[in-house]
Amino acid sequence: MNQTMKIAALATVLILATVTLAFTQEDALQIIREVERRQSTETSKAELSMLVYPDAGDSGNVREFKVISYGRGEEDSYMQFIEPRSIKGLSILSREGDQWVYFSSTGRVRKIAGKSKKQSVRGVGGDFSYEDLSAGDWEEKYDFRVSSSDSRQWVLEGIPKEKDPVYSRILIAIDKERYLATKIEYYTEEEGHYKDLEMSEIKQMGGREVPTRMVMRNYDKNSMTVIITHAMQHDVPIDDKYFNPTRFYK
Amino acid sequence: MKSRLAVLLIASLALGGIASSATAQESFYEETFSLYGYIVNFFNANLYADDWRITGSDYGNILYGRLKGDWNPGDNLSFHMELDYNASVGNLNPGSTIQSASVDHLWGSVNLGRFDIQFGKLPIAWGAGYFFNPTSKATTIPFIESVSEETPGTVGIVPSVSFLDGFLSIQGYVALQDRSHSSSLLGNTGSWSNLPFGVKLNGIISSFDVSAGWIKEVFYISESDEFYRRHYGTADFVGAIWNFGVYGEAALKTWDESKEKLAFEYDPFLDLLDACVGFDYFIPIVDIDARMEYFHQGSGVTDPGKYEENFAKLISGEQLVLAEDYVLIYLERSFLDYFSISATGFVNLNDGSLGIFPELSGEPYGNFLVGLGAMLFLGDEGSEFDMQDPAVYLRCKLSF
Repeated sequence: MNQTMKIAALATVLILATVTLAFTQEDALQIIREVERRQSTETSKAELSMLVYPDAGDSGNVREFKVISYGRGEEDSYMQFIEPRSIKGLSILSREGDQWVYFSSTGRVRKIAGKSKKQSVRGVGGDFSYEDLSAGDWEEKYDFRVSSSDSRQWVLEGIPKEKDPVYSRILIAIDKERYLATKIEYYTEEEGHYKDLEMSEIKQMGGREVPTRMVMRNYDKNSMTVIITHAMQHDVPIDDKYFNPTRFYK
Repeated sequence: MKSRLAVLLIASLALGGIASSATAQESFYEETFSLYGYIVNFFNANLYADDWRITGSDYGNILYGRLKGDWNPGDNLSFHMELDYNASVGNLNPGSTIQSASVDHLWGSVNLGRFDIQFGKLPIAWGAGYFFNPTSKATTIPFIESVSEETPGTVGIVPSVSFLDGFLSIQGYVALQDRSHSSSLLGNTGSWSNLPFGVKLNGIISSFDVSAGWIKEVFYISESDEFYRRHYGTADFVGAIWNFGVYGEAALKTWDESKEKLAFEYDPFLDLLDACVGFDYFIPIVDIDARMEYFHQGSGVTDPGKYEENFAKLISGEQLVLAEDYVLIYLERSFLDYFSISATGFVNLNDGSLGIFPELSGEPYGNFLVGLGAMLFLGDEGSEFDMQDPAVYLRCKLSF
């Protein structure tokens, strides 16, 4: 092969690789957007139980929390803890990447910022961090590519766009038929494969189908947290005060 | 896209034809009336030492109860009350009564769209600081409070109005009692000049919450039977820089009504300023939650020889501490979700004395919290913390 042919072959390979990469990224983006489109709802309300197992292997050691959750638009959510009584009234507002927590014991609102978002909610514990509960746009936060695909699901790899993120990488498994996220793997710089979140037990709620059981397994702590959705409503009126940083706790 | 939890909750919306799907009951939680609260038992043993040898000790105990009630008669109306009970014995008895009970909070809230108003006896807790809140001028809060974290209620009216979907808001208060909440204040004190108030403009700018405002503080001095009336310009911020949460707040005295001239005309700038600035950082490798806060108290003194002048202010609650500059460092490591070990270091930068408060706490059962801790003080003779005796304590809290 002469020099010219070698250069032509190399150029062809590079062009094909670039085109393939571009298509892969484009596909991933389209998948994420389709998941997003199917999830679109004006508002939502949910009744949840959170079961925290500090030792994943000990099913007898469990703490139960009851939560009311409201969602509005694309990025706003509000959670209020009802049980146990020791934290009744604790509320979390997530809005466009910002989070505020109202501690009913002190009557104060605290903004959650920086690495603190990696922590679980004070007084609640468990494996859902402020970051997991936060509002935010996957497309804005991560660059996605299709990591693998079979007849049943896509696995998308998300690499954070921001510097010093809480998670260094996530893998999302998406059901091809339903455009439903069924599993998320979380990776961090410090711990490597840190947590897995699995969704199951799909039920009809509020006229839509909802995964009513979510299990977060934390491999660093060997702990597990289960969230069970008891009831859910969609596109119902919700007072704007729940999404207002200066009023959500009143 | 929706918040991630919400994403997960509604991740299968608009998908039909799943044969295995089941239909769930669509009941929805509504609690129009609820009663809840907690009791705390705080047992304390003071240790008296001479040259690191314990020469004696005594004990004290506080039983504290708090009953809370919520009533939500409608979407835009809510009612809240908190009754408290306190029984103090031994070295924790202030020397007046063994037990007391009061209505600490009793307020209603009306939500009128972008405008809302709360009125009654309610907590007015301004400020972004964790350990010090120089912009909190409606009530006094002890610096070291091991029994309850509650903000005392102040009789007043608290309106707020928001714009731009909450990105901009104006909050205010008019307190109908002075900051001391003094029980020795009797008779008609209803002069308009004794009406404390505060107003501030809050905004959200990028990842920062910022505010600027104006406060009138009124404080009754029982020794001289007179009122201090001071005005402050205030500001606070909270946000994130890199992986650090950062915050700060400041109150700058601008006007003292009794002196009838601008504060700058008679006091240097640093003596007029109360400010705190701090940061928090979660250290990932060791999973330690770290926090550091600097506090400047303009009315404090830098010379230990002048501490005596400030004792009365400390006792009345007008001042939190004696000196001018402090640093507070807090470290906490959690384990098994419901247990933690923490240490707080509190340094008086003016005389070099310090307090160290280690604590082991945990929640062995839901709604039951127990903490075992100590208060240790170090400092040269005549320094602020040299005057304190070390103590150990056991705190139990049961919520219901």
